[in-house]
Amino acid sequence: MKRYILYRLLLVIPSLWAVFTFAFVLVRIVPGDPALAMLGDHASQEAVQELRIRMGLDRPLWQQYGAFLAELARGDLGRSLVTKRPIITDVAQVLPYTVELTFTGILLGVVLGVPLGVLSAVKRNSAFDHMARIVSLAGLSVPAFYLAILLLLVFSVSLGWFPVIGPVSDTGLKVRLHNLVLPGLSLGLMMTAYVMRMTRSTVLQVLTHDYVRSARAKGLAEMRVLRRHVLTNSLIPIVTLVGLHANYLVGGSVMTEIVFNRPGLGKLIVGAMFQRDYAVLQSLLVVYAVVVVFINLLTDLSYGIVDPRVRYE
Amino acid sequence: MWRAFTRDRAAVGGLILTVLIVASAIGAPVLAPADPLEHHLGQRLERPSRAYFLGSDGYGRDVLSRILWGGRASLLVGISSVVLAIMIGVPMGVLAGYARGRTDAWLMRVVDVFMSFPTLIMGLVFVTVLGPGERNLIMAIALVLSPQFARLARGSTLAICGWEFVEAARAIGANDVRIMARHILPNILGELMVIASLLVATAIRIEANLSFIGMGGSAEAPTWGNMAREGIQFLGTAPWLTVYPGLAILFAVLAFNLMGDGLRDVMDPRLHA
Repeated sequence: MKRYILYRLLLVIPSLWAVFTFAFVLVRIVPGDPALAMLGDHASQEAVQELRIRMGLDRPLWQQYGAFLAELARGDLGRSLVTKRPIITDVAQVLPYTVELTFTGILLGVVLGVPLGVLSAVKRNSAFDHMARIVSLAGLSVPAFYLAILLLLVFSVSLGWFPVIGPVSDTGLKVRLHNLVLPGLSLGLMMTAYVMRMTRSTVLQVLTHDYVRSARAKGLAEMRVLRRHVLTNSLIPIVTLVGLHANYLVGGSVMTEIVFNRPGLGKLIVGAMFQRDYAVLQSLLVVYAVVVVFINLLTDLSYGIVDPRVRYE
Repeated sequence: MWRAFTRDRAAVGGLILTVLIVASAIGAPVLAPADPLEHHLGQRLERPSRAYFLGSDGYGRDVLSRILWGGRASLLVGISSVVLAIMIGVPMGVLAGYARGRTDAWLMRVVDVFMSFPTLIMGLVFVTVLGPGERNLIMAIALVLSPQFARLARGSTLAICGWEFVEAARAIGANDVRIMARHILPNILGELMVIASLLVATAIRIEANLSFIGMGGSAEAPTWGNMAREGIQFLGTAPWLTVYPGLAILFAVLAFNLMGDGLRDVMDPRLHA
């Protein structure tokens, strides 16, 4: 087990390198001159040239790449082209909010989705199953901002249980949790829809396996069969799929943050988009890349818990 | 196979809904009761009524008409970007699967890194990098979705290459391009349709999200996403401005998802348990 953990942790380095390189390349596939794109057509030649130097565009590509990697190794995310502030301070300020939101969404999704999915599979083709499938498909089809708006409409505007725009930073735990409910629910319900669907199809497949039939033939109570044989064997694909979808949820959190006006990476990246601040855009890509690698790491490590074969290798 | 499809009620529902939505988008010039761009400043923010079936917005424009025309824009973007994604991704995937070896390994590694990023983030980056406008939006979404087609095409190609008629074709002396075009491509079509349908749903959703942020295609012309964006400031007073466009997005995405699901169930014999 220890060897597995060590090996998996070492794998993080090439993964990070790959996604960092990817972020570097992506931001540079700009047709035309990025400095000109930022300043607009009416900018003077000197201003454009000065910006190009600041962006490092006057240096050859491989030098830019080297500088990029060196900065990242130091933990430096560069400076915003617009505000000239170090990007890492802005990121550090808002990262906790995005993390708590995404984490809540994933947690809610798993806690609600897995049991519902199992129930749906066990009661296949029942009224409950049909309802559940329709609801989960709807949950998958709804655009992220729409669910957030609907929740806002019902719980804030109509019922007044939650403030429409709530203070999130520098407040006590209770207020912070209170303001996490609706956004968390918004993300969480979308995650639930996906997890429920995946759990259902996984459990359906596992139920067809011979060992389930044997367990039942042995005379085991259904609950025991479910817990010991079905659920444990379903967990591996479920963990995989939850991990995959968690990445998707990170994207959804951007929309949720916008609708609920929460501080977070989402607001930062949208701001960078509108200002064409390529430095911030690149650095945020890097941050998202780290998050993705981290989520994949967690997923793989949890195989160690869920799959005993990995443990004893 | 058509029989199997019609037996699945959800899939048929999806097909009907899809047809309805596409038809209403195509028929927008005829079906829309009013000009979607015309301001009627005397009738701003009207509740849904006989005159304004789904209400009017902050400039007095008829919401129903804007939804119909918006459907045109959203569907156009959704379908075009998937078509473009297929044109980019499938050749890459077939090439990778056919050539195997290092070409395959490197290509798929890039695809993997690509696909590990959240689609919305990728969409945001591409839209920023490419610039504003509807054409760039379609290109951006196509770039986001093409890896999925590449992966699918590669997997299928690998499988098909093992089939005997490919060996036979090579034995007769058919060259590589001919083999890929005449033997591999036709056999991918089924799975391609499934993924295409599901990804049109995704494309529509990405477009809606991007338009909602304000990075969508057009400023004045309605799309479902930017209708929701304009409507949100009136959430307390005129909720219909956001609720109805959002509902349209939901139904369109749902329709293509249902259809794609139905197609997938038909293609996969195991699921007829």
